[in-house]
Amino acid sequence: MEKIKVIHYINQFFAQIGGEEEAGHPVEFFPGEVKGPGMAFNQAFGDEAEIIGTVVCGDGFFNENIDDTTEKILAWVEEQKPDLFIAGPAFNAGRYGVACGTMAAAVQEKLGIPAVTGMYVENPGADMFKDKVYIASTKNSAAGMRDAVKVMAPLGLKLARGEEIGASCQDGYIPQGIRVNFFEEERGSKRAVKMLLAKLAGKPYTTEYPMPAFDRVDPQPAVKDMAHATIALVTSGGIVPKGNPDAIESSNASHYGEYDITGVNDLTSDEYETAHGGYDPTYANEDADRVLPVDVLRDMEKEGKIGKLYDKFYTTVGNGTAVASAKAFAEEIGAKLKADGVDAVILTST
Amino acid sequence: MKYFVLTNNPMVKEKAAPGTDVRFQKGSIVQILEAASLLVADGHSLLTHPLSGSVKPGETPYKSMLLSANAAQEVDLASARLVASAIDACTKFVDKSHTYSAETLADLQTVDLALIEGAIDSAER
Amino acid sequence: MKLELGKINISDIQFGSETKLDGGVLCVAADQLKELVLEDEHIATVEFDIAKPGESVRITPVKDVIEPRVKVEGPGGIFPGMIASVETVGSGRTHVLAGMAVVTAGPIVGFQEGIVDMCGPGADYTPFSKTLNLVMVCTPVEGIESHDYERAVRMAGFKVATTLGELGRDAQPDEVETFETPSIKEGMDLYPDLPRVGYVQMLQSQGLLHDTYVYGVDAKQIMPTFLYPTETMDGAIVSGNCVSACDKNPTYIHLNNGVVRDLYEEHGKTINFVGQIITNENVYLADKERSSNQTAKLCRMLDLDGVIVSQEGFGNPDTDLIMNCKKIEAEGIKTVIITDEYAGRDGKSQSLADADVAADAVVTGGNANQVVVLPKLDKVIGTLDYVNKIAGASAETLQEDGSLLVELQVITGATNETGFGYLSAR
Repeated sequence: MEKIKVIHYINQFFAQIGGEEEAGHPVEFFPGEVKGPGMAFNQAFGDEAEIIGTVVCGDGFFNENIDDTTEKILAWVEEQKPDLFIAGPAFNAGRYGVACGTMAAAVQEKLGIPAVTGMYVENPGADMFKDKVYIASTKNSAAGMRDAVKVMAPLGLKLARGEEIGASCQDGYIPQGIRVNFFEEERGSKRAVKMLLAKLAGKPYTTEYPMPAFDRVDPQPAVKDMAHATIALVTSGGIVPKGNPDAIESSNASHYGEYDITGVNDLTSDEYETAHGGYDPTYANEDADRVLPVDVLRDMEKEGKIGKLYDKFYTTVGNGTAVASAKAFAEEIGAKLKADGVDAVILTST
Repeated sequence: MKYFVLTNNPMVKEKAAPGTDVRFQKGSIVQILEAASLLVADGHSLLTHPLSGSVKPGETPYKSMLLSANAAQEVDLASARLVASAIDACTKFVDKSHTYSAETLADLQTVDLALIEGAIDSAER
Repeated sequence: MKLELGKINISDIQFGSETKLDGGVLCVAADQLKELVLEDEHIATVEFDIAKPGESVRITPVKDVIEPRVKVEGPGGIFPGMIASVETVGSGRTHVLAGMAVVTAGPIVGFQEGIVDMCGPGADYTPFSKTLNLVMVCTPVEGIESHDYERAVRMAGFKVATTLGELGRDAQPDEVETFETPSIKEGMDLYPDLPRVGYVQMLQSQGLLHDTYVYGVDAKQIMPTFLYPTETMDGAIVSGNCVSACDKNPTYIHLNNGVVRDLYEEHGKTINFVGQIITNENVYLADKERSSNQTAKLCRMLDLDGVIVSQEGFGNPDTDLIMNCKKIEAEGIKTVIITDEYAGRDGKSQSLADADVAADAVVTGGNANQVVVLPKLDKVIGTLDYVNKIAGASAETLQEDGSLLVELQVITGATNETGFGYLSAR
């Protein structure tokens, strides 16, 4: 039987070019070459498959030139006609994870070639791409390479052969938000007893159905006297002063901005725009009030419907931003608003 | 607890004990749940579970619920949550109730009636 | 309380001129049993048939599945409050015709569900493809109310099962198991260092066709109460539940409850299995509050360290399950819950109608919306007339080649929430 042909994508670090200082390394294709973790994959494949070329790209370079780089890599992959595309594993490296997820998803979607990648579950790339491609669940550092390859290689072979993929716990991938049935070795009542014994003993156990974690916030009592209330505007829609002075990222934001709007009655296209990379910015750039309604609130202020519009607004980009980061921003923003005597906040998204 | 029955089941309208406040409304299960959600928004609280019965939405076209006659100032959040998740749950099932014969529809009405009668018993106690 | 359960392994069922047990072979005189069933004026006809594992047979619509048993020693009889008197059961000795079941089938209402396939992919999902089944297909007299007819078929099944069970009275069991639950104080003295564990079983109790009976009492009317688990082995709990085939508990499952069995397995070794609390799943929200409050109170009173909570049915009971779990956890008692999922045909929807962070240890019986194709089988016991109408079926269910495209929901016991089966999901 003919061997399954594999193209492998890795970053500058795993290609042994260099660390963060080489993150700008441009994308390159090495036909016929096996690099870094590719060796381990080839070993795991045995006679079943082999890597026929390796794509190497600096993580910074990829993320700053996503569209062009993706096109370029797709063209190389298309020419080589592999049966499988493997990216990473990226472990907990955020930009590498996004690159692996982007490429694996693009190859699968645009070229119809099955793809697999691997990441630590908290890698932002995992959240962004887990419902688009199979992402093997790995440890959080390269020390987990052997284990990662042990999961990714067989999962990749199954995909390349068009075999049915089992449940996430069987084939070792990050759950895709799709419930998949399978038969366990033990019946449910036995599993329940074992789980209870573990729980009683304070030992680890894995629930078979993680409850959806709704971070429920009880609504505050209604504002009784809006006519004397100070209202603030906060958005995850990325509205920033033109030029994005604090360089809030278009996705996976690492910080938020605080901007003074004293005397501003209208967010004009000369002064404001959006930094958000997850929606068509045309209408927001045309009139940023569509996302952050300063104009309407100024009107209401004049009409006496609200006491006052707070003189600053807070903004960040919700696109792919980790929940943990968003929470941290909110805690800081909330504390500032409270200290300044703001009575209520209008939160806008996109 | 003073209550009224919100239902799209004609048999409930017909057979409810005299004096029972039955608000009959034509429509699908989702429509009757939406009507309930508006009433909840007005301060009425649910007295029965909106997914009563193991006959799945889509399988039965009928739904009866008890709501408090009294409308409170504050929205009962538990009721709001229950009715919202019931509307969500309806989307998981294939609606085939339009394919039924009159006898089957009568059976489904009977079951819905029996469930709400059980609840009325509890409410009257 | 101590119960010996003597298992008589049934190796075959045959029709004959006399109803008798011959070694492991059960001979059934169908006419004799027919007479017994037709004593009830609500039942117009009954036909008996036999379905064996591996045969190309489909049974549908299935109502209940019952295991024949007989009380050999000790107070009371099988199915107290239904067939026998209301004497407290669960002690002494009981004989079981093991490896077989009485299956009641036929329409109760126009959407009667439940499929048991004896071979093929459908057989993997139902526990009753592995039992030798004596099937009784009943039809109602004209003009009968569904309440009355449900009761008639339910009772007919119990009557036939106890008649057959009686054959095992003098037989030599192939195997005898012993289950013993000491009194509270004895248990504490015997196992001072073992964690105290209870089983909270939620019983379907929403109303017509959604009923369960405990010593003959409609579970809708009960306050949560405490049982010796061996009581259920003598039929203290029986099913009157005709809906949600995949996750309802037929009487067979009440008699052979997996959680009870598997907790007894650990009893005296790693845990002290203190007993079984039963509670209900009513439609009225205040009933739910009361029942879950009382359940949590009982768990506290019994000084339990851990409990397993099992569910029965879809939707409404999700709320009871979460209430029970939350309130029991709030008492500082560790819980594991068993449920099943309705995640949609694509597996992407919210699985349960309710959720809470306290439910951090969940065992699932799988996604009941998953679609399966059940190939055409040679023989149908019952009728396929209802198959397009039952839960988990749709207009395209009956395919041109005679196969059925259905959701797992239609299969009896497929996603059982007492953990009777092996199916799960991630």
